[in-house]
Amino acid sequence: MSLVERLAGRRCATAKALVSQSTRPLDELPIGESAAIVCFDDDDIVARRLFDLGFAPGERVVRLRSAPLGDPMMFRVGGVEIVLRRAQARRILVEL
Amino acid sequence: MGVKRAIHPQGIPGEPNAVRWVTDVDLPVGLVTKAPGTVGPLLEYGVLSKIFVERGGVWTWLAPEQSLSEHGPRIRDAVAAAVDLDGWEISEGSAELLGHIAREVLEGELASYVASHGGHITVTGSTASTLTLDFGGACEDCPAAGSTLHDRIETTVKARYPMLERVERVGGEHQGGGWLGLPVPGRGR
Amino acid sequence: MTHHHHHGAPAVAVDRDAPRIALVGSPNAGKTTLFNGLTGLRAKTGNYPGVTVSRFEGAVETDTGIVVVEDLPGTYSLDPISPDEEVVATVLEEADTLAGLLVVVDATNLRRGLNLVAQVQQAGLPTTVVLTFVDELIRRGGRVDPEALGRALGTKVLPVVAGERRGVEALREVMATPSTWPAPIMPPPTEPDEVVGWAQSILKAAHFHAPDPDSRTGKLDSILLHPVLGSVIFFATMFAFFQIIFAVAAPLQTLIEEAFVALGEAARAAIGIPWLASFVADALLAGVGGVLVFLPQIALLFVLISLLEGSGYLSRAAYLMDRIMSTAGLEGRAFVALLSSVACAIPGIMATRTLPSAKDRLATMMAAPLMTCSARLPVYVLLIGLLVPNEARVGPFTLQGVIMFGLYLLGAASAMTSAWFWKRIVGRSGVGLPFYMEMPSYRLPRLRTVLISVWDACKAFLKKVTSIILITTVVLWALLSLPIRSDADLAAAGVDPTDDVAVAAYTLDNSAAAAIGRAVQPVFEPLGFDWRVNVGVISSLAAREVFVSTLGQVASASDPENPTEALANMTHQDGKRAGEKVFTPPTITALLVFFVYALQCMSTLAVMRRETGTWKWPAIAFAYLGVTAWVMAFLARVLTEALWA
Repeated sequence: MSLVERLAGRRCATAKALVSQSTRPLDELPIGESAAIVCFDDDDIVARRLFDLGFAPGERVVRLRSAPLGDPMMFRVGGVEIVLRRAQARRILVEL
Repeated sequence: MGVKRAIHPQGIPGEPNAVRWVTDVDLPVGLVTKAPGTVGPLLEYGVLSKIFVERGGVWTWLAPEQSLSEHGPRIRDAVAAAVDLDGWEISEGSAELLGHIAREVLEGELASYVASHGGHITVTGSTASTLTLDFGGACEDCPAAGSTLHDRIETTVKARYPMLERVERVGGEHQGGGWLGLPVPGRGR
Repeated sequence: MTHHHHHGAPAVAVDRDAPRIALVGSPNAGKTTLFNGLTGLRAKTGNYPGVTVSRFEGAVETDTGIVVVEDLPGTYSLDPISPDEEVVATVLEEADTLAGLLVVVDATNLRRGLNLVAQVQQAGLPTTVVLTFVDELIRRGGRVDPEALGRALGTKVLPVVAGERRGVEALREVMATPSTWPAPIMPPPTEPDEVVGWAQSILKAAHFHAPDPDSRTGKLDSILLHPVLGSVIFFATMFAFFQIIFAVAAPLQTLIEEAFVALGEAARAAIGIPWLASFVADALLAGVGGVLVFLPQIALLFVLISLLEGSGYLSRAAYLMDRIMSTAGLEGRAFVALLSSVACAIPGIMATRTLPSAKDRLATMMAAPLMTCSARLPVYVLLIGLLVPNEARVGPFTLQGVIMFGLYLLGAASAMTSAWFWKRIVGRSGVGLPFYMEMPSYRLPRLRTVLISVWDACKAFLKKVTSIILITTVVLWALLSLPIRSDADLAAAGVDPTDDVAVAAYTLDNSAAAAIGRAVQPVFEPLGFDWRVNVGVISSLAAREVFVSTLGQVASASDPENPTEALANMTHQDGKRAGEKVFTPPTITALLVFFVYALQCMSTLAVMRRETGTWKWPAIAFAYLGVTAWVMAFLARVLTEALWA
């Protein structure tokens, strides 16, 4: 199996049911608040890329602000500031 | 996605079959005679030949003819899961483990510190509670620094091997008198 | 604007047999700065076989000889979602050509860096980690022990601080012997849950302490990205951007203009042979000078764009514009590609590579030529100058500046519409690829980076002036001046051979160019163009600026003493508008609008071909933009005529 295939087989959403704590999607985090990342809602390329961007389970993420028309949103995670659209932000589940 | 235990493997120079699995461990320090979880079978069926536990992690020796590329991930997962389980049987204290830890500290964490003192310190012997070091050329002209260095080695090793009682220095006694008559028994806590 | 500022200086011969070491790292990790530091700006650029991603390599001298270092495109992961990232994955998989890998990791974001290190080490190549921005980490209250990090990873870890030679020298020494680099006893995990635990353990062993947020960036962002204030500042910045380009460049342009006029007069006086004098003064000096006048503006444009990029504001602009770009089905990064197209469509089209979606890339490429590139600038300045006087003002702004801003706006709006249209034509993307963008901390732009970018742009422009533009200018001069008439011919045609103006007018009127211009007259007649404008439009198919030099030649051919007035007073010689002035407001407006839409740039077509791998898309772009240009110019003319009456 090639390296790319192996990496494409990574799982980001495994055992969501095993996660005991209740979660909410990241886009529902109010501006100025922070929460720890718990997991992703699915195992696709988007989730894998969000993980590779630094949205790693256990990391704390802060919602900094939203762009003028409410989308996209700016977050700080792992020492960098990253902009995501609402559609991507909701793929990330954070602690309630 | 449950986050797994923080753990990473570290190679040991001069011990090609040994892996130090760096992770927080709250178990007695010494030689493992029986291990819970999937570590037990690895030991029983001869994948691993020897296991030590220290405060900073778990040392495993791969049996001859076993390869880390084949068993590495399995050993990691087994160790990561087992350290939180009950059922460990550990014979506390080990001269061999203390020697390994001391060598690892001197060649790793404190290597550049020792080098900055102009010498090379080697482990010449160990018991379950004492360590004997040869300071080589280090600090011969600088008694105060020698004392600092001695303390630092002792503190660092003791953090990982709490049963350490003293660090002896070969040739150290005849070097000078007074408070330089190191080691002082029971120093450093 | 590409995010690389690789200098295109003459390359050192890159030895095919020399060991190769590749640089891998995420965007903004300082990879390119390191590459430039190692190779001393002697990069050689090329393309990866079969794909259109640029390849940068350079030679590094080490103790054991030359090592070739290859700067791979920035990537967050080896699980690729864009062509650039696929290249990185492919190069690492075909590892036998590489002697080793340098993974460039930003110390302020070490956890994410370790994730890439873990993936890269799956390739099984000798790997060394280069730690950048350690100074920044410490400034922001963070901490890391590179030696302990190296022990935990089982690799060498070398800290390198930008602008300091020490780290680069140490790295150069290490690069001599990739075969002796230490390797980890087993490759790190890559499964997300495992890699999190692994990285956490490594970070602890390396005594890593995460940095505090950059307080300066936080304060600036609270103003510059404020929902209301931030938008106001953004539009003010864009408006100031264009005002500066005109206000600051104007005196320099006058200087160049006067110098070329003086040169032309000197040449006319010094050269005895009339046709040679005409060739040197009208073709070479007037043609090249007419275009060279725009060098200050182009330099200024690139200064401003690289200041915006280097300070970190360009990413903020993409963030502010993302929502608006999404109405065209595009994303914020497409805004950066489109804004780059304001300098030139070529870097703009190349910047589309950062877009993960092939459909977004295509739609942006089709839209990019509509953004007002610097080549349109000379044309607009000339035509606006004919349309309204210098002194006219609207409030505190010059009317010329306001019209120019309007043209930029029209171009941008048309680009958005076009992108929206093409996004629909090429169909919706099956997988919704993620949109993400990293916001760099605000920094003072590095003078060196700005200078390199301006120098590269000016060099490319001068190269274009001395090649395409010079050749078309010379060809045009020949077409405009040939056949050469003898005095007898002139007399036979009823022209006084001693009257220079009459001779010039007759020669021009009966030139080969005139024949061509008249042949296409039926096409452009509804737009109000005469044959001379037609010649200009046709010649500008090579490059837009040629239009200016063509009209310059036409004007100085008809009145060498006062070309500007000759242009303003030019009249239709035949057809139903005979006797009327050519440059009436409706015609000028039609011409301006024509230039807003038409794809008159061979280089853009060539780059489009390279980026899409087929002639289909450049052909479609040329055709759709040509038709749109004609239709919009016609509408503009009709509208202006109605308003004027």
